Amino acid sequence: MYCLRSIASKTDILSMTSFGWKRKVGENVTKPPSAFSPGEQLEDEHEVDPDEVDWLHAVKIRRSADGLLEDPVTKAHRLRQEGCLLAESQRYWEAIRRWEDALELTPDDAMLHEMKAQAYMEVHEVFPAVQAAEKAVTSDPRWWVAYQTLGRAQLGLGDLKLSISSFSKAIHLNPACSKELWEDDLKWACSLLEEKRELERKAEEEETEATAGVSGELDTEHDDDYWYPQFPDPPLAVGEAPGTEDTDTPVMDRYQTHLRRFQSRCRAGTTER
Amino acid sequence: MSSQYSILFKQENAHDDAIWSCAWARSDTDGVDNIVTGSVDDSVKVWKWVDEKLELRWTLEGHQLGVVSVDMNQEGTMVASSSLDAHIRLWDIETGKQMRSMDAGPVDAWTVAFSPDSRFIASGSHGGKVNIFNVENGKKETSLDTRGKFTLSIAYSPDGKYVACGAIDGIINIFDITTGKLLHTLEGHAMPIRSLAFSGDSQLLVTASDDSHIKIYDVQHASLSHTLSGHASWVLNVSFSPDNTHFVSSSSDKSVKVWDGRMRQCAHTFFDHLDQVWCAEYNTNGTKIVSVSDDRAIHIYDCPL
Repeated sequence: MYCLRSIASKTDILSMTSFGWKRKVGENVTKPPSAFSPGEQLEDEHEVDPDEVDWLHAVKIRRSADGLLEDPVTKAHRLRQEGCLLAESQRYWEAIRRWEDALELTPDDAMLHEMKAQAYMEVHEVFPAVQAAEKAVTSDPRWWVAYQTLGRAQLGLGDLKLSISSFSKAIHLNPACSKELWEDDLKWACSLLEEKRELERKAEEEETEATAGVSGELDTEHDDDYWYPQFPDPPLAVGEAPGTEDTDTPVMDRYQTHLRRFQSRCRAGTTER
Repeated sequence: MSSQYSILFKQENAHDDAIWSCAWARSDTDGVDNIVTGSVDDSVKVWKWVDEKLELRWTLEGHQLGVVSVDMNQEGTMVASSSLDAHIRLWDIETGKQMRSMDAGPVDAWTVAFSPDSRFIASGSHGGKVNIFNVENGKKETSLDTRGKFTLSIAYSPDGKYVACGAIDGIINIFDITTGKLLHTLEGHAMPIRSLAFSGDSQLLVTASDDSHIKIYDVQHASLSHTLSGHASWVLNVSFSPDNTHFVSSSSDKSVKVWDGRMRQCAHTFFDHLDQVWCAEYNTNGTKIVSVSDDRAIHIYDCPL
């Protein structure tokens, strides 16, 4: 039952990220053209007098010589915008490739890393998403959005503690941030952590009950510290035959299989989607 | 006591995650120098400064989320800490036990500050109010309304007359404590004010802002006396030296700077942290500085007098 609920929650998170991402993409698409094209045009007007220039050669010179100085940034910008458009039409892999090309030219662009992380989350590539978001955070440690995205990627990875830490840092950087970060991200992650702890506690209880049923003669007083390897006086003390001295290992074995079953159940839960 | 600025001691990995806040005070009861640090790892740690090194005295656990701010009272016997989940907790330094816990309500506690007489704790809130809690019973005593935005930073004047607070939109408000009246509103910065501090004689107020400037105000006339530039990024914390002239600032540019308030210039820059430095504070007699950072380290510096 708990597993099912957490699956639902994970899809919720994914749909939520897409919302935040689109909002940011919108900003990027609208801004750059106004910031860039007028400047370029002005430059052209200053540099060349249309009557005197051999256009064929002028273009060549621009490309080879002074073009080199400003080109990488302009090109990165163009690639970024292309990526944004692609991502808007949900062609995430192509978008990621464009942004990667842009990052070759401007490797410290936190926004590129952050958008890449969000696109990776859209295509359910959780680990690359975390890596990209981590790069975004190191590129601009003061940008709360990068921490928010990192937190969401870590949540996708299932690392609740790290994601809570990242959301906390995002809030600390921008305490007046939107309610979304408080309610949907931080509180959500906290409630998941609580749920996970509850689940672990229940699984542990179940297991103790089950094994107590099997061996029957287990001292109920010791149920709580059943899993401790340094269990003081194993069932022997209750008066079992000395032949069962190796009970210690089966107990640990049972625990291991239980753990494995539990883990595979969790894995199945995440991939079933 | 040395004649020049130098780093004395580094405590690496003092917490499991970034450290956001620190405080330094000497206990009146046993004369021990206590340093308190608060981290995003939910814990508050009390360290003892003995023989030129730090010894962990207590790890105070109880906060459910990152610890935004810590403060110690003048006598150095109590610690107040606030966390992201808006709980303010009071701890006894000698026993390491929690004395009181106050729930300020959702997002209603950010920075905490002890009043000079140790009877009250002030804390800023999301709605722009300054809530004042009674240390004795943990109840909310009064509330001062700035009618402004989120109050990020707060400071009591050492003479106990004023409370100054800085908001996220860069507005500074100064209240008269006895009447509860708003005395001055200063439009100091255009960006969040993460910290402010009074000089020991309560004459000057310094403010630190995300605009990477530090401003010095004359409290009496509520006038700007100077603007200091030098940090390359957000200024995260300011704290006055007991000598009334020097103060220390820490910044996102990973540096800690000591300023001469009279000469209005930077006296020294420490570039020892590997990440942004959230807090730097003087000790009781102004001979040392402690700083904490995102790099999880605590640094202690020597200051000439």
